[in-house]
Amino acid sequence: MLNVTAANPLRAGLRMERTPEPCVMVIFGASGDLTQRKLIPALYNLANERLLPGGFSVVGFARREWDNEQFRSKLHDATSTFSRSKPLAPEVWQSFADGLFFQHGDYDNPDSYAALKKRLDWIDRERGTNGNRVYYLATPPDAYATIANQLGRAGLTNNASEGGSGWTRIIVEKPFGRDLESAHELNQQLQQSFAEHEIYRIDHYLGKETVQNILVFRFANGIFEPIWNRQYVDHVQITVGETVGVEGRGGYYERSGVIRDMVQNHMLQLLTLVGMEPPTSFDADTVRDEKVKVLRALRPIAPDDVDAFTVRGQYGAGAIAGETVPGYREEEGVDPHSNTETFAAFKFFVDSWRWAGVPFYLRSGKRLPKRITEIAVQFREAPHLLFRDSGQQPEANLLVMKIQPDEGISLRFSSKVPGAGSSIRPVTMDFRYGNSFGVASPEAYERLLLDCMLGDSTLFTRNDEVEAQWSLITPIIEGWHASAPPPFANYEAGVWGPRAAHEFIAQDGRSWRRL
Amino acid sequence: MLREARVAALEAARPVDPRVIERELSTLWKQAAEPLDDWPDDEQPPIVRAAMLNLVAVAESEAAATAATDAVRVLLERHPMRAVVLQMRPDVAHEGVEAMVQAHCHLPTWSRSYICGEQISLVVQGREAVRHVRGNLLPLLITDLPTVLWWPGAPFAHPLVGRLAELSDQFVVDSTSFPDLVAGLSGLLAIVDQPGLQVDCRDLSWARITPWRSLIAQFFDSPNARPVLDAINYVTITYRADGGDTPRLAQPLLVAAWLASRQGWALDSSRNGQAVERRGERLLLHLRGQAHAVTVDLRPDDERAVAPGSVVSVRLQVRGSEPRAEFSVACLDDPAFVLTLAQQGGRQPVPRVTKLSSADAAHLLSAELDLPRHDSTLIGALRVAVPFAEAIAGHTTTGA
Repeated sequence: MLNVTAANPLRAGLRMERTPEPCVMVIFGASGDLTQRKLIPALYNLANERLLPGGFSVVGFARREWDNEQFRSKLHDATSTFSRSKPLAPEVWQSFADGLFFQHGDYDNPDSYAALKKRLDWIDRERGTNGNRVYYLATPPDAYATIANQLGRAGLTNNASEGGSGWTRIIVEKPFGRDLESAHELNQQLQQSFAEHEIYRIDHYLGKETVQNILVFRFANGIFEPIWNRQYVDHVQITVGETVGVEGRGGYYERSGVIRDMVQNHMLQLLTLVGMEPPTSFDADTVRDEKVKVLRALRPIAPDDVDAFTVRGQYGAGAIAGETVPGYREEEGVDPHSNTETFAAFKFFVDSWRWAGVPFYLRSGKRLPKRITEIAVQFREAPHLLFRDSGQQPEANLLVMKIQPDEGISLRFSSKVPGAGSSIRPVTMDFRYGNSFGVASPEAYERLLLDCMLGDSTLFTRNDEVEAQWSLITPIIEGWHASAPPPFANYEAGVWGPRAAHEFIAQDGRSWRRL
Repeated sequence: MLREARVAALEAARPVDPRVIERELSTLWKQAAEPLDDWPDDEQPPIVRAAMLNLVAVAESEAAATAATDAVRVLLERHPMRAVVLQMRPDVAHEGVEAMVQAHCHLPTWSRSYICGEQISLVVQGREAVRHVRGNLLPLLITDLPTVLWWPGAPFAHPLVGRLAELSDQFVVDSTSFPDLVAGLSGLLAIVDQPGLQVDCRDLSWARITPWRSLIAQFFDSPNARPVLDAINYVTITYRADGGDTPRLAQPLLVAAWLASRQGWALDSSRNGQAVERRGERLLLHLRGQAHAVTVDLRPDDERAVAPGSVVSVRLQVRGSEPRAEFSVACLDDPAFVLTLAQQGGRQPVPRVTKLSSADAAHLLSAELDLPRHDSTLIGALRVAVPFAEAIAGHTTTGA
């Protein structure tokens, strides 16, 4: 998405405008799940598709006492299991593995960073990586500031190698803060060692093809933009449903709840992509400027107003797909008296000329009947009932962008039922990615890691964006804490949230989509 | 099992009356959509008929028609389509058209539905019927979908090539199969240059060298290496020989023409017609860039187990001046993989092994269909390749 004129004349006509320069990716937390399940399989897939440069190297940094061979062996096993390009091509893996190194160290120990620097200098010399470095923080969030600080103190954030001009980037995983204050503090801590353009805050939702397609759908088709406003749109519903519970991550979920886990990041990203104005170009800052404008135009929900604009829920025991599942409070690592929300619904308004008066309803939860992410744009009804003998008002048009699963777009419109009379029935035009493009989408991490190596931050969250998200979410969290929670558990696993969520939207004369 | 049986029934080719092909197809799909008795609703075989394009595959023989059908089956996994496999037999005395229809279905790993496309096989017999083949073809093209004409073999030997190309949005050939490379490449350029004809021309031999182009280009993505590109003065392209008198030069020549077109190299006119030099089996093209002379060395190789005419290695060098540099991409013993090496500034090269894409026609065509319309880089290379091929033809009998 970065509009870079290819200085390399041989790039003309090739699928990629360019590939990354040789670089090293240092992964902090390299012994963890994310590295093994997502990062290394994604990097291997990129290597397999000829998208990584010669000399590309990875340094895994963790407390374990592994050597290079142990690290490579672990990663081989993990990649064999989790890569989408299975079985692994031994020739490609061997070549890729030659660039994998392990560095034992403690996040807060300067000596560990001195050793890391030594190793990176050696890699620069031996593998031609020219001081180009990506630091990936795949650690618990409380280590982010320490690592950034230590990197700065060790001189690892200014990497111009001998005679070269190396660049530095840092990728930060979610959660980015717990509230506005902590997010702001973390931004400041990172910016002591890195410039803002070097910081890549990852939200893997933005790496999904279908999420990127929201912009293509809106801005590469001339027919939708004229009706994408309050004149024609009645309301928007965004649903992110999960069938799973906390999956052994009760401790984490207790601290986050659905609002930090899903709403502050992924759902607000979806909302901004639906609500933003057309950017003047597709470069990183122009796109993100428009997203930030939407966040700033979102009407804040004051702590005293949370009952009017939000609903909270927590699942109790129930059944999903024939399987009995425990309630949230029975999950491992969860306080038996927990008041953490596992479901939330919201009504937001974007106070802009385009969207004035159009509610954006958001709902997300765990242990819902289906795993589904979708955006539904509900249009207004036809203004005049022309077909009186049909006996009913035709249903309003509905446009649904399905993010997962069954990725695609559908449009509902009314059609005459064949035969005498003017009976009308809604029908649907469906577009399915899988039916039209017979290819599985790459993993989100592949796209995001490659973009970072290329220096394209369009699909990453900027500091003002993340703070604008928290500005909106923090008062809601405060309002929830200040008021007594509903009597949890208030929905049984396997249904679409608590009754209150249905009443919440029904009071506006609307209803949640049946999914 | 019943699901599989139903899909198998869809896929079986059935002869149909050529006047009512659409009706026959409609019947075929209606049958496919009928619920199976005694099966619960949620276990009914979900069969989706999909089409993103029309493909007209011209087959010059029955064997070619079978190969085209096999390719369509592969193509459909990525590009749902209506395919028309067309055989033209003007030499048959009996005038007429024979038609068959069949579906091709596949069950993607990420889908619960069979995705199906359809194939119509047409055999047009007799001089008159062939002359009017467009009248048989046009009604079979799905409205509003792009039409791709795929003509493997020797399209430019056929009198109808221009008329059929006119029907299409994209015209795909394979220059490796051209019996006369100069005539074939010139014919392709003539289609490109025909006034008023907006056909996007593609060459599967170009698609075969695309991974090579990508790997070579990658050497010069780095700002440190970029200036060296302009200093390259010796290029060695090794290709698989076929043992015959007429070397298959399409692919190595396209690599040379691509580099020349991007770097502004042209045949060295100061050599008085001796811009091509033969040294044993090798052919040397003497070129001149803006600043210096460049030699392209085309070398046959007998060892690699790849198809005749395939590129085996490409090496770009700065010779004779300092600092020297060398960049190479070379097939390994298993030709599905290549080794890349970049040596510059006295640093030891870092070997990298990577995978080449499949080189069979179906996969190549599939990849070409993914690309944006109009490949101006190919056209630029073709304009350079034609004089290269003509100059070589002066020194050797040149097959494709």
